Amino acid sequence: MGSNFAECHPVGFRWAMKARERGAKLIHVDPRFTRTSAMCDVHVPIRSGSDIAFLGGIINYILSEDRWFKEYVLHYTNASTIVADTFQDTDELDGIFSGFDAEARHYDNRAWAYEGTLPGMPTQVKSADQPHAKEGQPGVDFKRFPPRTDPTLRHPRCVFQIVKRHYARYTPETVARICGCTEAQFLEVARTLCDNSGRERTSAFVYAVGWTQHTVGVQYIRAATLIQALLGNVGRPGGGILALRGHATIQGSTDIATLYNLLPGYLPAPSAQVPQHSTLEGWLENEMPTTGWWANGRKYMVSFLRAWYGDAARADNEWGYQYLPKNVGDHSHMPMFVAMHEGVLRGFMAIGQNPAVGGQNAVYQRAGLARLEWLVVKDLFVTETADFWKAPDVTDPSAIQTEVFFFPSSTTPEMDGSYTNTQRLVQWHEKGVASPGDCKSDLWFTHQLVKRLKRMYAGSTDPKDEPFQVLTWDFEEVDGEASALSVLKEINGYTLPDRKLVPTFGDLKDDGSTAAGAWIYTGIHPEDGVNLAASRVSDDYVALGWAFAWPANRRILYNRASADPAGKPWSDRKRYVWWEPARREWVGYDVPDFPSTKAPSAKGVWSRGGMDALDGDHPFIMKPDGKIWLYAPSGIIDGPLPTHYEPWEGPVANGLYKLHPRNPVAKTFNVVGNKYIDPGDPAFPIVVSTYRLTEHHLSGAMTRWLPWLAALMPELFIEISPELAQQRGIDNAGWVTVSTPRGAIECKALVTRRLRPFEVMGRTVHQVGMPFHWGYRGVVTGDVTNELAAMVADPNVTIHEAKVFMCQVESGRHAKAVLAGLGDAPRPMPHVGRRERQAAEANIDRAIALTAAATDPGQIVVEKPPFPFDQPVGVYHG
Amino acid sequence: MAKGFYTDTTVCIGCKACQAACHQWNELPALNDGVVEMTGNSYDNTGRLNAVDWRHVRFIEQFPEDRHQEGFLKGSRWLMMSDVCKHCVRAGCLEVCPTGAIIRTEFDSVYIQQDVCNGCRACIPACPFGVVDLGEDGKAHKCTLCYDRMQHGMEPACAQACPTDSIRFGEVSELMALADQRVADLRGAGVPAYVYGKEEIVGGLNCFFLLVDKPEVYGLPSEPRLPSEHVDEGFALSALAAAAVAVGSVVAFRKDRMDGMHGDEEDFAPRTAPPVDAGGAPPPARPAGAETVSFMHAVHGANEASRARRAAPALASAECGGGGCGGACGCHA
Amino acid sequence: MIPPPLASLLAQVGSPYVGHGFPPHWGWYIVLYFFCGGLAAGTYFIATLLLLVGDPRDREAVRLGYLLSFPLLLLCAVLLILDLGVPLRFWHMVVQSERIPVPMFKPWSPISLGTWILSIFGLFAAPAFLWALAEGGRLHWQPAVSLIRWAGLRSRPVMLAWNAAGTVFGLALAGYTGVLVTGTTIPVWQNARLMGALFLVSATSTSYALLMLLLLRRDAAGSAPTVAKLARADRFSMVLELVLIALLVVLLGRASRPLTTGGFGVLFWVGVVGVGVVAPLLLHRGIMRGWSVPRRELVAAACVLAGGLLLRFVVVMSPQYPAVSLWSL
Repeated sequence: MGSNFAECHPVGFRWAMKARERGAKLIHVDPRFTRTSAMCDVHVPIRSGSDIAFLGGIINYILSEDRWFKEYVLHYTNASTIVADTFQDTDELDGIFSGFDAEARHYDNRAWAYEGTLPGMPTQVKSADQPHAKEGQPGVDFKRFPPRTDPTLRHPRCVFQIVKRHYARYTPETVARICGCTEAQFLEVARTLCDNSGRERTSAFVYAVGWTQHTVGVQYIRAATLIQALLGNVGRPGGGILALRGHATIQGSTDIATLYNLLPGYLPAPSAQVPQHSTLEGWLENEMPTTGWWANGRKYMVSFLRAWYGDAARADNEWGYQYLPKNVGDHSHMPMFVAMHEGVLRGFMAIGQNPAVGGQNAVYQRAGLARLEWLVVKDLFVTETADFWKAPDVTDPSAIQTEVFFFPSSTTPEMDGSYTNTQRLVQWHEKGVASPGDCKSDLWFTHQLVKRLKRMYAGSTDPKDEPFQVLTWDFEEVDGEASALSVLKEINGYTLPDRKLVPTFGDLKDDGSTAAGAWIYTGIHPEDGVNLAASRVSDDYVALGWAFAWPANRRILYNRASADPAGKPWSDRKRYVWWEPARREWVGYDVPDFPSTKAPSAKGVWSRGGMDALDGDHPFIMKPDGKIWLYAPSGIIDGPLPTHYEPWEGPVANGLYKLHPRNPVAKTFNVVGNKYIDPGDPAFPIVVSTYRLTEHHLSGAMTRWLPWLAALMPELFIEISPELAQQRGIDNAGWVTVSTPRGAIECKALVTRRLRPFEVMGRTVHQVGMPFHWGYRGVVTGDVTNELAAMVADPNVTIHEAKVFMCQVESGRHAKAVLAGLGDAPRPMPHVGRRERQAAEANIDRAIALTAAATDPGQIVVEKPPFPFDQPVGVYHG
Repeated sequence: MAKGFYTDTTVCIGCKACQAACHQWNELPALNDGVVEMTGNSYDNTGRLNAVDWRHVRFIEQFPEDRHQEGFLKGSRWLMMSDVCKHCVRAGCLEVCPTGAIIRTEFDSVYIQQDVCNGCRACIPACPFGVVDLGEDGKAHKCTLCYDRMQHGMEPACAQACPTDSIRFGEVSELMALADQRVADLRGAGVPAYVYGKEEIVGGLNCFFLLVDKPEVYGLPSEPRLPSEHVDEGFALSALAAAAVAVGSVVAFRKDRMDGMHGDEEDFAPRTAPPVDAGGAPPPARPAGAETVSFMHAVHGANEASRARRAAPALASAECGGGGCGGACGCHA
Repeated sequence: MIPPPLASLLAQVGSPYVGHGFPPHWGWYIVLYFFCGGLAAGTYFIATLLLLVGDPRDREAVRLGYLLSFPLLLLCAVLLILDLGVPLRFWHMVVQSERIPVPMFKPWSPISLGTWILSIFGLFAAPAFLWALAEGGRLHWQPAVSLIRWAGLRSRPVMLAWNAAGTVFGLALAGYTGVLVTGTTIPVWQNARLMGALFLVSATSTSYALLMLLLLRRDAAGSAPTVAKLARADRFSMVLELVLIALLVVLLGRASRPLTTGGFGVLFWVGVVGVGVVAPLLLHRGIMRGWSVPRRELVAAACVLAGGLLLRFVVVMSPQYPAVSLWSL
């Protein structure tokens, strides 16, 4: 679900096909009949944006049909944990959970806490809002005692009962009504899933941006988590929820923190909005739980700081913690472009990124670029972003003051480096050929940039320049760039001062005697001359000898769950990691994800903290209580349980809630040129999904310049059902104009029976689909699909909602006329005027004031920071 | 030692990696440098195998008339198939090539030697699968089964690039065994699969396919025919015609003889030489020359005959030696 | 010689060519080659026949026939070479380019066979041509003269034998041009077993026409008796041609559609059958009484020639460019 596996990840799909040849059953739930559907045993078309209803239905089926994996659920999930009576479900409040602040459109998740952790727990509202909290940090205080449980699962407020009640409404009829599928289809999927789960068998969910790019994106995946937990499909071979990443090593870029709110290894970045973050101790106190694996957080943070600031990181200066820049708000993609419009952001580096085509509401984003003072673009070709000032809709390029620097980029075969793919497998690649002309690797670019910056700041006495002065940058230099291997070694970590490589993150210390760039990667280069990422020893099963998977070369996380509470494999067929009583240790085909000698029967002592707090049958060690959270008392901004909300722009009313049909805390951008469509607006009656094709890559920056690939998919098109085509008088391969309040574009029609209208809530809903690979540069060009999309996002991670929004479709070419009618869509405009500049200064001043305020722990932040600094964000599933 | 492809269409995801890999390895230009129109024919925009697309992925959308959910799901298929030169055991292109440019390699593949081909284009209409095509360089082009790679023990680019192993390369006999097994499995699962390219197809295809629908659905002929099929009959019938024409002409020429001196030329009588001379020819409009005279014998002395006749008709038969002329000179042979 | 435009190439999409090859991009060169090849063969054949069973009055026609045949043949060779994608490699057809001078001969390949037929026919046609020149008193080049002598062409039997042999190859050439298209997998061509025969007959009829045309234009009165014979023979050929066309279309059945329908269909029925065969026959049979006989003969001959050219044009082009408008060719 939520993925066109065969289309967008053909190489990975190889394994799906292999599984199928060996008898596995593939199910595809998707609005369109795609290349993937063609390869699956079952295809169930459901309307875009109705997945949670479908998944909720499955949860309800599992519970009402009593198909859940009792022993697994009882021991490995928080089903038995009792929730405080302050929690109220959406059913009671018609679409919202308790703790909702209507005016701030924000939840106070103290209302969702476990019983017993209130009252008197430290107020950590902000912290709870920190999306990285979902990496495992609790918003509730486990420091005193473990949460209360009821192993009989009878307590009306135990998680199990709450979940059961919450999903009771998701009956097959409801699912069919909301999703537009039939009950029979739904039941077939549910039944197949249950039949194929348990001791003997496991099922896996595979998703991609089809699930994430929604205003409830995170909850989509949470819903799958519930199913997999209830069916016992986590931590076991053939199970899990597999995210297909959008491009090569995007996983790696999240690990080694390209995200503003993360430090390498998923250590939360300090935020000026969190008073506790003003000191290292406060940060640890606030972000690192005392129980579970994260109790080791201090070691990782200190080692990380040592890696960055070397000897300048000392015990007496909080290991250089204060050198780290602090966030003052949401600095993710869309807010950045809003900040450009407001004149807050004046320079921008687009490295391997093409927002002029790939950005939501592309016209708005190009207009943002037009207000920059300078723009650096580093890419393989001169992309639309580099040429944004020559966009077709720019009437007078000379009016755009932005200074654009273009750096031709090397491509993978021309550099050493590594790919981290979706299952955290890090594979090394060597330089094969020299780059043509002036093309340089990103490593070269960064290395040269840092060297110059350090030179610039060398003489400065301004304390704010100190971080640059003390930053360690001692990589060995190979023809102008830092050697990738020396970077890898720093990431792996070494002892100080003798700089011996560290074999495992178990060896990292919090006394400053070790340095590690990213603790999760420690062990990838355990000793000199041994680069595990480059190892290529294969076998026919787990293949531990093939490259390196973080953490600790572990291929399946939480694999202790592949054995029953007593440590015996659930079944011979599914044996993976188990307890060997004779040797008194965990053994198996994989690296056990558990203290190797901790017996299954071991009882944890909570007060001891760390791993000692957990029992021998608590496999989910990154969680403070060692269990899967069916119910998330904290860490999720928009609710402890996934529930069906209509998309921000949807065709119908919510089948469950009247008062709050959409995600009440969705992140909206109420700026000029980003007008939203009200639910059910007759002017825009058609549901559109944007997506990718095998033949092209994202904005086409890597493929539209290649004639070979261009010829395979030469023109932008829209996939339309014959029904809609007939209704609108559209011919196959004829021209079509597609419009939203954001923009209007022209493209060819691909009329195909692979699409069909849905019967939803008693009315017919037409769904169309559009790839978004085309722009105004390259061998083949076309209109920019993303000019249609709106900037609206999931509150947890600020991922945009591109998989479903509304539009109008007409036959023929009249985008110009439609655009003229749009009015307030902003066009790239001259440099920022005086008024905007003043507003910008004001914003910056307030941001700084905020930071200052935040650094005083005593003071509680009352002022809501000015847009765009309103809410922080987290991991982007690109 | 025959090498070939086994293309299992049931695992083809239509990613076109084979097409791209082929272009890359063989350094083929893109169709019209990449700037082509969208065809509207599903996801296929290159149309057919041609001089620059030696692999071509077909997309066949099969969806029932019943557009309601249940019906929509019943029997909905999107077939994909990566087409390629079949490297036939009995190859039409090889048969007709007049320059010996098209050869059968040591791997039993059919290969066009670009340094020999002179662009007569006989092979293009000779291929029953429409594989061979004319390149911008005026020569015939088609899949080489990556002859250059095979010579170094490498598998062809497309097979290596195929992510789902829809394209397998190897010993034809072994591949065929694999295919038969796969067919058995699929049929077991109720899929009407079969192998296209056994002996009945022009003596067998070294590059064969596993299909689940009629060959025509995939743009393949059920009964491909070889160009030589009717050539012999063609020649035979021509010979007959030749004979007929010859006989007919002879008859026509002799007709006036049979009608005596009468026939159509009566129409000409008024405008030609006097009737007495009806049989005679006008005096040769040419200067008399020694050598030409000597040649006159070649035309069995017709000149002397006529000249003599003009002098004294009685001598005619004597002169011509009684029918030596076959009667042409008007004697009574 | 570039492939057809994408548009026409994609016209096949949806109803892809199934079970036969793609158009060889044969164009005017081939059409003219087929036409001239026929004439070369026909004129030679007629000359020889007249030599065999004609009478002195046909001498002019005989000479004319041999005079025409060889140059036409040379023209054929030129057209063929020009038509090649790589003209300079024409010799690859005769000699194995890798194993010079091993001859390149594949009797089962129509083109290879044809190349040899053409070449050998050339060997026969050349001396005949020289002889005709000599006969016309236009040959003053001594070596050639002695060649003729040496070849013994002065003696009637040799001359007959020689030209009879040549005629065999000549007719083979005429027929092979038709068989050439039969040696493909394009249905309308491949199934046309009679194409060779048809081309051959058409070759003779057009040749008769050509000879008549020239004779009449030169000296209507003087050539009258010969023309009369030729006309008779031509009529026979044309009737035979008509029969063959009918058979061809009938035997082809549905496969004949490219030929008999659409724009090409019009050309075929009106041009080839109407103008090329029926009209001349009628003229011979004496319609247009108002016209003088020679005039009728002249017009008829012109029609036959036009029809013969059209026949080859339609046959060659119609299956190749179904999606292209006739007039864009």
